[in-house]
Amino acid sequence: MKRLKFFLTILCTSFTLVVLFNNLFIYIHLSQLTLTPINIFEIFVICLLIAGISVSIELIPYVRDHLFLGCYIVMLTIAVLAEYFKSQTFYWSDVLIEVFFLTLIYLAVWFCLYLDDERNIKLINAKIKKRNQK
Amino acid sequence: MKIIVKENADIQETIITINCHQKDADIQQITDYLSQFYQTLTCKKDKHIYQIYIKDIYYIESVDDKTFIYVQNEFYECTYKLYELESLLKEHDLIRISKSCLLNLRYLESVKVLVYGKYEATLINHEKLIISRKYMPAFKKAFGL
Repeated sequence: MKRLKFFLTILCTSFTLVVLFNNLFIYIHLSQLTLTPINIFEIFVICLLIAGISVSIELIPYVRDHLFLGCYIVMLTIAVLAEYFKSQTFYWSDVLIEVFFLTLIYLAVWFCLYLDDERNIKLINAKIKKRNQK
Repeated sequence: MKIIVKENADIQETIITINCHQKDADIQQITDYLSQFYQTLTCKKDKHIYQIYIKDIYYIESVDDKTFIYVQNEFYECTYKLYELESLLKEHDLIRISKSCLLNLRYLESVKVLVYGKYEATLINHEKLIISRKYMPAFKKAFGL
């Protein structure tokens, strides 16, 4: 039941975001950018996959314990599946290039988060040390 | 204010007496703190019931629907659920650090960032606990960050 709730939450949240963005495009009169029913359905399938993958990785203890690895797997799987669904012709070379650049971006984001965490932890450790000395 | 501590080997139970002109808010705060300091929690171990001082708890962990209280070198089982203890003991420096663990900040020695996005807390008895990212904002808030 808990996993079903998690699955439905991710599905509803991702799909609601897509519908909201579509409505925003209609609102600002960019009719060429609005999504067709087929596009919406394709996006719905991808949202379904996002929810499915997110729930599945929770079942693997190692991935569940390694947050960044889990997110990386979700990101790559979604990118590859989106490429497969959206492209008329599917080339592995395109996928590899996509994976390469996504990995670069992911590593950059991870490094920034790591630096920020390190900065906070240094401040916390300084406070603990000061308190323990008292 | 003067603090006088008189040691006597014959005394079985510690008695704290406050001599003051009038019981005001400061005195009330001191008495509240002192009574909190000696609050206990009922736990069991090997079919025996124990009263554990809350101040002595290092951390509390929930494993397979059972709640365990860890003191320096021992652990006890408690009938309370983790969420009940969380609200009961929030005044005692015990803070939620993951879905299944409450940590007493009093016994924290250091914190370390792990490469996979979590944090590791080392206690003064050298035990290591994992802090989830989800509970990090509350943890940082406890240190005024």
